[in-house]
Amino acid sequence: MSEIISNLQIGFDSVLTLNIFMWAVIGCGLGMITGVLPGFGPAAATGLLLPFAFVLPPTASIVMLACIYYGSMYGGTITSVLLNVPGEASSVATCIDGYAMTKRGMAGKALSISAVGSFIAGVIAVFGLIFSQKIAAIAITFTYLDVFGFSLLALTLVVGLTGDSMIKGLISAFLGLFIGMVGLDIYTGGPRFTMGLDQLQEGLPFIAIIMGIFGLSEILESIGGKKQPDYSGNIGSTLLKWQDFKDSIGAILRGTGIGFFFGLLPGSPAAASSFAAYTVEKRVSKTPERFGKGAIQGVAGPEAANNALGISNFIPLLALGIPSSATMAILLAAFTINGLTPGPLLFTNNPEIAWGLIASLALANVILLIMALPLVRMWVSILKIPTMILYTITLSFMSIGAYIIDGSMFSVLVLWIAGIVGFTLRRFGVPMAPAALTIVLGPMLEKSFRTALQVNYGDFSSLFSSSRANTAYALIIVVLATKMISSIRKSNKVRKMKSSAAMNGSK
Amino acid sequence: MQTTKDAPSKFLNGNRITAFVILLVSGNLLNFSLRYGLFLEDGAPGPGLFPAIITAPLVGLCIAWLIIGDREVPKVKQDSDSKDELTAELEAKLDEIQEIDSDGKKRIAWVIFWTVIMYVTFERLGSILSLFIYSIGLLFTISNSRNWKTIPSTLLMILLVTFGAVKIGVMLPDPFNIFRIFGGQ
Repeated sequence: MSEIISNLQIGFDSVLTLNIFMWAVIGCGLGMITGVLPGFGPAAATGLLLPFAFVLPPTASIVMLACIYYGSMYGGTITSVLLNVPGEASSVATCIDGYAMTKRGMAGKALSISAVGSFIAGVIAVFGLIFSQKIAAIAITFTYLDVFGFSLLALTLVVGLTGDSMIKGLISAFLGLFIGMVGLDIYTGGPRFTMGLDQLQEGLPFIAIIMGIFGLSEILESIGGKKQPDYSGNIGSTLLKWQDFKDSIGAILRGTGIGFFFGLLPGSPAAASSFAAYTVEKRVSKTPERFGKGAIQGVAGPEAANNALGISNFIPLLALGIPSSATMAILLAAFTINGLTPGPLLFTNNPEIAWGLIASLALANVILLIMALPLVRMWVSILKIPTMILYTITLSFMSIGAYIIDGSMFSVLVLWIAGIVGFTLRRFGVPMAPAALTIVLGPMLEKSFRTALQVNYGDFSSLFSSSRANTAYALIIVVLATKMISSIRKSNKVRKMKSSAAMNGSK
Repeated sequence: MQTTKDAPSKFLNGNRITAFVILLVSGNLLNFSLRYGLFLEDGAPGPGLFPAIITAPLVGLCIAWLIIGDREVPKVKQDSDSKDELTAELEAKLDEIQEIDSDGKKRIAWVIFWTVIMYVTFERLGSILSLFIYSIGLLFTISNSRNWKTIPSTLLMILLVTFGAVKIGVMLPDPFNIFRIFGGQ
């Protein structure tokens, strides 16, 4: 216990300096702004603002990006409640009762309970995050082979659980893996897939690619979209009554537990936790008929789940160095830019960063509660600015962001190519989360794979010589088989639907 | 359960074209991977082994997409009797693909064209001037802004951003030494 307290002290010491605190506040604010932009999720927000990692010191940039991520989750709720437009998939469940409350003139109350619920969930989840050091202590004994197996498992889970089509998920993952192959070969030093371009010798600028496939492609989609939502109504009172709090606390605690558990599973879709929290609340409620018509528990539960997941998502990254979602892959990229390797050794080699990150998340909860409650009207006023103006500003900032990656227009070009390709692929249902994960995981996977083979003179059977890696392979087979069975069932259902529709038509 | 409509042919054609393009690219990459060499002389894995392991299944997946792609139905609406109405609403919201009409396509095409102009001028005119022209061009077209205040406020915004960037040590192109006003570079 005393060890945990002293470690937390290291974290708070590194975060509670004026400089870092200021970047945490800026990060939370930027996160809130990007979260408020309709259709913009945490991955797009962190992807867009990733270039900050180049210009800030390591602790400042990691803390700031974590705060951007966390802030965007808070901000995403505002559009869900006011406009019925989820800022991200995990806010979808909030839309139902949040928007119903808005229609009943209780938008302020819905926003307040989501802020309070998120705060409580966040604080509890940060306590859970502290134990990632214990998992890291186990992971420190992992060999190259174990890292390969578990990275592959994380990848499979993300591919298997993202989107409807497994084929498209796999295509996205393999394209991402390929992007990581461009550049000089890690062992022989020879150029691979560089097409004779000097700029490609160090590999493709993956920051620009991530900004493109997440941020830019979403902006292009929004620019092309028909309806540009804005909000001109009044949010009403933001004050919560004691009864509101009493009604919601159970939902908040249940949501926290559900969200925290889901966040530990790599690839678990964020929406699943808020869906589960919503369903649980409806089941345990004595008045389930109020759900969908503005039940406060229908906002508190999913929002708590969403925020607890946001924090527990950090555990696989901090403990194992394996990102469990696209946003975590982007944060892993921020670590890499600063010459840091998240994973078991981070707590030993850079305790001020690891514990500073944990402390910053605790701090972000307080900052965001202050930002979200008294300043809620200010964030809502952003929605009164026509979205096209916001997109214009964002596009200009993106160009600067891409330029500073390597001080040349090459990254701007890569950003736009990635953005247009990402936009096109998304239109055809290819999910981008697996690509983001493999762009970052690819080089790590190749290194562990080749090292494992190299020490065994190319003997492939050596890949199966570790019991931990074998467990990971077995789990991969289970995940793939489950996904395949559900895909077959789904396609059979569609076929039946089609044939019954054809029969009805012929009658 | 019933389908709202069959998959539009445009969607299917687009699917096939996208799958075909990725197939061509991945086939080419597989060829390159094999040329890099799968194994070194001492039996250790060569530079082409891992890329080949990636690109070979990619080729297979693209072929599968080409074949299976046309069997997909983009949107399925659930009947209220088979599923909870709220759950159906949640799922529909998640699956929603924003429709882009011809005006939307024109807006996207304009943004891409205008970015090419910005790309060409960014280093020649410097970041302040090129971003000012870029932002004004987008504001007056896609945002339909006709307010004269847009011009000075855009300029102010660009100046503030570049000022902030210069202050935290970001090097941006400035052929006319405008940054000197801010005491930078």
